[in-house]
Amino acid sequence: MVKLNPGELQLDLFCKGIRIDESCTLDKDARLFARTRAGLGSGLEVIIPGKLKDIWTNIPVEEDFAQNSPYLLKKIEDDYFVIDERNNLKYLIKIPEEPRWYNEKTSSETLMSMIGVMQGTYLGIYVSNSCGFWYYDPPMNCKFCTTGLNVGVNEVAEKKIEDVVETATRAKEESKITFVHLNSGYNSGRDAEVMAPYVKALKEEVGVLVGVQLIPPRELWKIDWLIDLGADHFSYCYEFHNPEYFEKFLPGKFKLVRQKTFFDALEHTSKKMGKGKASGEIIAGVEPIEDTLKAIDYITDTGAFPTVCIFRPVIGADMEDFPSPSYEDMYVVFRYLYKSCIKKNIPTGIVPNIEVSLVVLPADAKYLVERDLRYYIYNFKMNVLKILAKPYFKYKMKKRKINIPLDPMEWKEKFY
Amino acid sequence: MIFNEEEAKEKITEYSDKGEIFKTLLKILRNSEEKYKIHPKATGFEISIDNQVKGKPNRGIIKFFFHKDKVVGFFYKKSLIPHSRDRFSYGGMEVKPEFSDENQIKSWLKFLVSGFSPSYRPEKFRRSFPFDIPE
Repeated sequence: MVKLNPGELQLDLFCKGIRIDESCTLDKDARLFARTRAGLGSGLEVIIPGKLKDIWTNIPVEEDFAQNSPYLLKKIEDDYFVIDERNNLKYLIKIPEEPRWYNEKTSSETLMSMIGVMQGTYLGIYVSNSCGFWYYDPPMNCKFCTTGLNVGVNEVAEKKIEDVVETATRAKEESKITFVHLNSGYNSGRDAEVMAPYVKALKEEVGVLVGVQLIPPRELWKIDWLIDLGADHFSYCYEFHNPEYFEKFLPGKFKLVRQKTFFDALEHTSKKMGKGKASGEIIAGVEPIEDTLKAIDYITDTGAFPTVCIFRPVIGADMEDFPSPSYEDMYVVFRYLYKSCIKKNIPTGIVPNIEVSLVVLPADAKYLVERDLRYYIYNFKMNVLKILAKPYFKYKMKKRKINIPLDPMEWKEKFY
Repeated sequence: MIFNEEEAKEKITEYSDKGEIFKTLLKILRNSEEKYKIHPKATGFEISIDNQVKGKPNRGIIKFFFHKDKVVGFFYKKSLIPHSRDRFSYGGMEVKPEFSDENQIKSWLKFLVSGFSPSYRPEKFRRSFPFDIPE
């Protein structure tokens, strides 16, 4: 039996989850388990060390399928190992420790970990008061998601801007974050407006790169307004490329937003900001693989960055009883993803200190492809780009006054 | 039946006076053949059940608590990780303290017995709460 490389191990752990042996002392050694946002963060954060790069992964532990996993996490002396009980192969991993600021409070007495949590090496914050899809009768929530179930339960229901700024400031000081990812649910067409004050405050008062994941506005000029306010990256989660799956599993997005709105926003943002500054986010492991590959083609054709989540049947979701995807299928998807980035010259791994634990980043997928001439040329280009982009990111991570109005209509009149 | 009635005596006495809903709920629990447990030290009034779902112990819990002038029933599972503060919500309902519809209360308990299987999700069930749920 051949040992899996770090990228292969990451995929298999995402698909199969892990059981935790009694030898582990995660209460002392690990970050708290925090199921926030859509629910993916409920797993165990680990780092799989590797020659090409270390890989951050949030491994499922709570779900039913994880209880039957062949993988066991074991602590031997001071080290943690993933043991594959099918063949007794042993993989050394690292457990990132919990930041001290998780247990600190903001000036309004809110626990900082109830405001945002580390998801890899960046800070993830769900800014809106839950997702509007959950408040329809019957609910129109995405069937894989548990956002509406988490807010108010594992996260505070309303995030004050001051609390977000204070939490991000502490995360920057102690955890050296470079990136804050703001996430919102459906806000009845006011999604950009909900996001705007947080973006502006983070740029002015913290000085970090800011990514926004939002339901795209039909008025594409509002994207330009958010760019002016300082948003550095946009993610549009359209989840399924196959229109039938989009309709079946995403009733709110289908009825109230439409798939085309996501495509329009993705194309507009990529055109406006350049390659790699927008992400098309999809889920692999539910729709047929051919559709996932088509999605990767489409996203990379627009110049965007494909962010592919491996489907996780999280506890409480409508799709809780669906099977976790197979390793073999995911291998095909992520190999294809990295090759597409090479083929279309989509920048990967350029931004300083962004490792994402919830998804397989394109840069993580480099472990899955053969190292031919194209691979080396692409990686050489990325390394050069990384060096050349340093001053740009340094500038972007400086606190600066944003003289842009928070009223979108005022901005439109003055600047559009 | 409530299998730890003696242990939870104080909690039961406290909540018996907090509205018709608790009187009706306690009556149903006591007359049921299922083995229910009332958590004596929980915040609010928490019920779980001693049964198995798909060969594993049922992790479901219903927490009743007051929010403004309503009683909220919050359906959730605790994390399997001992030190985790995660709660896995399945939603819940909000009713007035004078609520006493036995059939509806039985449908909540049926959902609990099933381990919160989606096919037993009660009618008039809220999936989401726009306020904080106490720990």
